[in-house]
Amino acid sequence: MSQVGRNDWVRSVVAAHERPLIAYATRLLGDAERARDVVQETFLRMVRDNGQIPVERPAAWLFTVCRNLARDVGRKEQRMAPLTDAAADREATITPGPAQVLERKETSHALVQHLGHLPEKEQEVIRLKFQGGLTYREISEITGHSVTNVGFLIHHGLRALKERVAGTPLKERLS
Amino acid sequence: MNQHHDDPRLTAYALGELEGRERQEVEALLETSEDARRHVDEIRALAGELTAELGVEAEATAGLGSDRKAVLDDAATPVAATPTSWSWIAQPMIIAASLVAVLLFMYGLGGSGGGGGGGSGGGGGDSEAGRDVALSTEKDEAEILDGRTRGEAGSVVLDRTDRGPERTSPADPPRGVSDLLSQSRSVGINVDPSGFGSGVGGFDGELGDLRNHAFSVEHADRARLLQSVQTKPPQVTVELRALLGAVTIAPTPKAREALESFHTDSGYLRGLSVDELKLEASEINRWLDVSARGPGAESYDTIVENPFQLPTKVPLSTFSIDVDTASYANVRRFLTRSTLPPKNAVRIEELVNYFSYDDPAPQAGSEHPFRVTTEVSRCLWNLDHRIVRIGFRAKDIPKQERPASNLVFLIDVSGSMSDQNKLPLLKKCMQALVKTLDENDRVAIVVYASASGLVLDSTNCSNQDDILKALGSLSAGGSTNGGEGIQLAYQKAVENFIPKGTNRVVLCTDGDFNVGVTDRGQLEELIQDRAKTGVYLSVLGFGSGNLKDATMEQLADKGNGNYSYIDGYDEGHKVLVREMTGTLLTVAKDVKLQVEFNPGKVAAWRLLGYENRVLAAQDFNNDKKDAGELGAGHTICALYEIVPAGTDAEVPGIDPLKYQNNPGLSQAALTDELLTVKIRYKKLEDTFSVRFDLPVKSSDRSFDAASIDLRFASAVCAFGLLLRDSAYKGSATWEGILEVAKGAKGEDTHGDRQGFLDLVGKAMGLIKR
Repeated sequence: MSQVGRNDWVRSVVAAHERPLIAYATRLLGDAERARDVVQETFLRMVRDNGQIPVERPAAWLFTVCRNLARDVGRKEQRMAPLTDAAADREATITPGPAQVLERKETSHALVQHLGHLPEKEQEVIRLKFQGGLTYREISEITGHSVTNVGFLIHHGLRALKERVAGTPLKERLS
Repeated sequence: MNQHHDDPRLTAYALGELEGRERQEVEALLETSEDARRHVDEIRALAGELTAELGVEAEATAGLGSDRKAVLDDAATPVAATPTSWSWIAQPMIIAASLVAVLLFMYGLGGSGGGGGGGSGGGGGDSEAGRDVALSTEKDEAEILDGRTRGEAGSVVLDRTDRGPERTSPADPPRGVSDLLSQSRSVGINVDPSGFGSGVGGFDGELGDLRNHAFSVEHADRARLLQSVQTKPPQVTVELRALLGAVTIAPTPKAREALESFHTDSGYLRGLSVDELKLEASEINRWLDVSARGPGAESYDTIVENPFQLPTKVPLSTFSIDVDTASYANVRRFLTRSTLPPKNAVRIEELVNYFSYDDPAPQAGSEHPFRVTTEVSRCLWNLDHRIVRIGFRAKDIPKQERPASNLVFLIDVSGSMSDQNKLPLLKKCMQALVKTLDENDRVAIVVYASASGLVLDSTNCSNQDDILKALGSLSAGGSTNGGEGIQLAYQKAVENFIPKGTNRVVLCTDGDFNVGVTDRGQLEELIQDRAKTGVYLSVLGFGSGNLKDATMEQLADKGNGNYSYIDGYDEGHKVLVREMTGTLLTVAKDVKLQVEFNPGKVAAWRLLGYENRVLAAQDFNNDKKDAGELGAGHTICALYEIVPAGTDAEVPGIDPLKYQNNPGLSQAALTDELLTVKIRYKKLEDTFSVRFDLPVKSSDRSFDAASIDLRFASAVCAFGLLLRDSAYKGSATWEGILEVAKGAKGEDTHGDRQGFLDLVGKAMGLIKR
């Protein structure tokens, strides 16, 4: 890959995965800012990597690294500096405006809220599957569960979700 | 509740995670279990929603921020990099570029979404600029449609930032459908409801009435949508399914808008009424199912080709004649869609019999209602072998002499039949048929779907207007379920029975049929039982993707009828109008054919096709054993491949016998008779059969010297062998088939044979690709 091509690739991978990774790491760490650090570190490792990452499908690699880093951080307690106001301001340029966020929140809560009530393991594989767009096999490699077990967790999780939202007919949720 | 609720394999299947044997097992289950299908649909809908919501959640998550990205960019850019290398500070420009792309998508969807400002960030000024570009490009629909716009528009913007010409794309990767979907959903949210309503026209007013509505969805539009979706990551398909599910369950303006603007190629959905949209949604879903499962999704019974037989071991070949031609139309459908047909969809005798042959009709005053012609030459795909063509030609009955018809159409009007190539096509063909019928004929129409009912009681065809009006009122809707459709249809046929006339129930369906008798065995019994009373059954198959080919053929078979697959108006016209006097007017019934081979001349023989029509040798003389019927004007062709005795030709699949060589032969075996064709049939009004024999002499005639019909039939047969990748295809080649068929086109008044040439070309292109 030429340098230009590689830069384009890095940018496109970051753009495609930063938010799902941050969302994922936030769940693991319970803290959005630490999650961003972990994700930045993940991307840094990607940038420094030489040839190990599957260029066509880097997601599984990214989630694996991100997960391991998040675990390390989790063990080491708060080591990173908390977000300052200045940093928060700088972020505003690439963060959706308040109106947009509000609007999204209105439309998207039912399932995600229910999701929060599932066992940790199920939440994780469901996020990897539907937010990360990963296959059972990739999820198996990331989490260490067997492929069959991943299938079972997702199946069980979806069933539980279905039951949870059964009180709210699909019709209402869509209108 | 739901017995498949707890099978992780179904979930895995719904999410596209199953492969190989497991996948096949689930597919087999889905074929039979409504419950399982529903479960899979539910999982897909849930998965789609979940992907969408989690996508929205991720979008709402704050990104890394410019500081962190600057660190990343430094790390990614070696010190020696070109000074023009742009840093992450230029990020807003990229976002603007990608926003332009997103906006283009949204506007390209048909424009009327209006006011869609829900981009994933970016300053207001940038987004304005993006909109200008988007709007100016919007006119060029062709570009938007073929998907290049995204890249090109991006490069326009980036060129303005004086980037090097080597950058041709903004490198804005597909961010998953959730991205697109959340965009399109935002559009729906931002839209002023009143404006929306006036733009699209009151949904509710259009509800329910398809009768006089030209529901015209072009297959090409749907195909384009599916094709573009399938080149994207699997989540895109999941999203599409969720939106389809939403529209089907609750076609709110918002759900509608989300679907219509889901993807550039879904713009065609815009003009549809709510009902039409629902139907189209179910059709898209069906197509998705079919393409996900591959062509094998349609069910075809396995065909084990007839092997070569030694006349010393098996001297007789017995089978029931067959006039079905559905396989040809079905093969044509696959090839036209640039897919090779599954092997078991290729029935050689049906391909060969699709064409009519120029055999002489019986002479006036002949004691038999049909005439048999035989011919021998060398075999196209193995010049050492011989091919024997046995041609039947039933007598023609002039229109004024044909007996009256009593037809009861039993029509599937379930939702799936609404597709342009199903019910609307059937109606067109039936209109053409009704116009050729007269005061001697009667037509009744029974429909079945969620309920069955009599749409038109048996009506004399002099009242054409009444019939046409009833036809016009037919519309599809509801699921195929229950009712006593088939009993009702037979009842009407029996009530209006015309002695010596043509009494027939014509079942028209796309295969999803439950005509009131759910058990297949019971259904066959009923049909067989009614056939004895003189009411026969014809089955017309429509559409694709859900075809129960074997079931339909067997039902027609039990009902002494024929099964035809109708893939277009030409085919419908051929079956219902051109062949009406043939399909509907039987001149001989229980027609069986038995060939006895002379071991003195024949080392081995093989019947081409007719695998599911083979009878036991003793059935030939058993008048209780049903067989096929022959309609007026029909031609039927059977082909045998023969390995001549006394040559060194090897018999494929069989080693030479060590202990036998010309066992005791009769006097007759020493003549130059190759074989004897024996035919048995019943005249219409008789319950006993008549038999006549026809000896055939051997011949070394070259293939090129054979008749046009033998050459053409051989070409069609070889076409089938190649499509089946048959072990018996010998030296057949596509080029050879084309050459032979070209030379044997004959007059081809209806262009059928030219159509064959085109198909061979298509198949050749597909296989060699």
